[in-house]
Amino acid sequence: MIPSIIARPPGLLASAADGLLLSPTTGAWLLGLFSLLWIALGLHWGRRARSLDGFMVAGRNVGLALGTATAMATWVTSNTTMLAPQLALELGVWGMLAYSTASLGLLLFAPLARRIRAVMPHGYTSAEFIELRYGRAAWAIFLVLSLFYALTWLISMGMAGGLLIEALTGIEYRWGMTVVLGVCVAYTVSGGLYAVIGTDFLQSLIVLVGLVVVGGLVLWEVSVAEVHASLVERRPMLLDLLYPAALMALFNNLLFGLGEVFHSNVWWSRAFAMRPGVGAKAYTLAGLLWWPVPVVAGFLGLAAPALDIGISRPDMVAPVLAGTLLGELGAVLVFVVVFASIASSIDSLLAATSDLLTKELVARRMPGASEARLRAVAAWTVLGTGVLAWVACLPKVGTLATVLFFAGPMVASMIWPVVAGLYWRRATAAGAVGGMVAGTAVGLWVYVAIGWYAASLAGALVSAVVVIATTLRSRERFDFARLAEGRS
Amino acid sequence: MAPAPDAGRLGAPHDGPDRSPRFRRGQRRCPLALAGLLVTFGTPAVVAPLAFDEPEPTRSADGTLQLSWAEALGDELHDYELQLRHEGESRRVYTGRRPEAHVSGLPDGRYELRVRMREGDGWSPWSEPKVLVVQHHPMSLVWTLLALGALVLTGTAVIVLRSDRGSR
Repeated sequence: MIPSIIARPPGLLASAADGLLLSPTTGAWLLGLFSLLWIALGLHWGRRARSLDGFMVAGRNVGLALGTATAMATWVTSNTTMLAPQLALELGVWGMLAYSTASLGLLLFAPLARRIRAVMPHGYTSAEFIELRYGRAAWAIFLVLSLFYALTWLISMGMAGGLLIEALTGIEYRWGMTVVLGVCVAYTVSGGLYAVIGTDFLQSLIVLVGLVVVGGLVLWEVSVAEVHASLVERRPMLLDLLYPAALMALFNNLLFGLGEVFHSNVWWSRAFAMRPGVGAKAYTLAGLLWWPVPVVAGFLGLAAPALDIGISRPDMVAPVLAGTLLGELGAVLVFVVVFASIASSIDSLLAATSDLLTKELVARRMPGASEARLRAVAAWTVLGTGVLAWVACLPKVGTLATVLFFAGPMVASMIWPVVAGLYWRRATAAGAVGGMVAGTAVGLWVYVAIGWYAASLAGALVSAVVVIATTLRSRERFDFARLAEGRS
Repeated sequence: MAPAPDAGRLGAPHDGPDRSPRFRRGQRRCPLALAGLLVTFGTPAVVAPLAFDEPEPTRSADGTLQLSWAEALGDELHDYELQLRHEGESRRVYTGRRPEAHVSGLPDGRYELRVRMREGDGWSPWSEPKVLVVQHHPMSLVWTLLALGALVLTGTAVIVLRSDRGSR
């Protein structure tokens, strides 16, 4: 027992006698073991990150296997392992499929990744592209929206780590959260994107194998026919093809995912990092490989009623199901999968967000700084971002997930400024600024006036109209060669 | 959430070990639990019915509902059972040790939910029923959003794929 870090037995889960899936001692051992593993592997893979390019964009030489794995692993967040079953439990088969359509974000980003690598061979961030393409006003708005989303996502992931570890093992929230964030900061500070991509590879394998094993064992216990019969009797709307809420959320979720991938530096930094010719293939493969993950995870949510498992909170349906069916072995599996999926997202967010902060805010105040100096600044920025996230996570504000959802219209409003800026010579700064501002404003109004299920859709739609209208009226002819020249 | 020191206790002081259930509320004190506990020499003779944290009728447009109720305090965990009644038929929708439950997949209609707690070999009385009225969004709104969503997605996909082909 480690009483000083164990929360009051929370009794969060109904399946185990003491209310927990794992004992705090087992949880602490697993946490320590995998923390050491990630740090050791991160240090090993990150030893080449001596230059600024090595630290921020992994030497721009990432191949197909690692490129595919890192794109997929980053998209497999704790949301995928926890929220996909929740969406299936709440919105049924449509909810499960709606989550899996987020793979379209990766698939449609594939051509963008090729284009990004071609027009900005020396680029570092998505904000850098916006400034070169549209100027300072658009850059400032983009940076505010992008940093708001990235930091909110990072903080919500840190909180998710602490909450899930507490729920699974009884280890107090602040300790679990501190360890998860600390481990990711440790290997990202030392190894930059090299370390992030390397650990992502292993983490994506763990998540995939874990989900397949849990899904297979659930199917061993209960057949699809039994699941169907149970849902028909107990939760019939989950099988209804005309389930209004599920249908309304379908495109909203899809456009949220699309906006997130298209604008976020998490994905742009990987496009810069992959060697020429790799980006499009890697993102296509990642999208195809990622697509079944929410389907498998979502099936757990649909199977829960058939197994007569009491669901107290929908976001805990997967751990409860695995722990109830598979006992301690299942609980260990869930713990490892959850830790891997959260770490693979936190490290990517740390790296990409600190890249944004370093290149867009800090380095601009250090003209003429050497590459070695900037490399050191980038490492300190990772540390600072981690500390900032830790401080924000400490109060355990339960509404952050809502705040993250609130960002849907913001990210969706950036889809069209990015697409038009990459391909259309006539796209204008006014269109980009107008699209982001009007899309965000209308999307947020819809969020309040109608509901979350229409907010991202409204943001994307309004932004598209503004960008297309201004482009059609424009006489500009942007020279894409200016993107390759960079800001210097 | 810190437990209220004496929430849920009633009755004359006694010397025996107090094993009667005490309650912790998610949002408000539970008057029924406070008033209803009778303790006789350390053995709970009558257990008060539980009460939902939000007992008022609720409307749902998506057929889901998150419910919570007063939690028995102390180290001992209690089993709870949640029952759903609809058109004269009752069925169990949750059994577990958390004082909260999630219900989903309900079609349009009026439902009643009630909860009880296992105490010793028996059960507490059922709580007062909570009314849930499910009325899903109109299909006209659904088709409108689906059409707009399909338009935006198709437009984006076509522009990206055509532009990509043109730029190579």
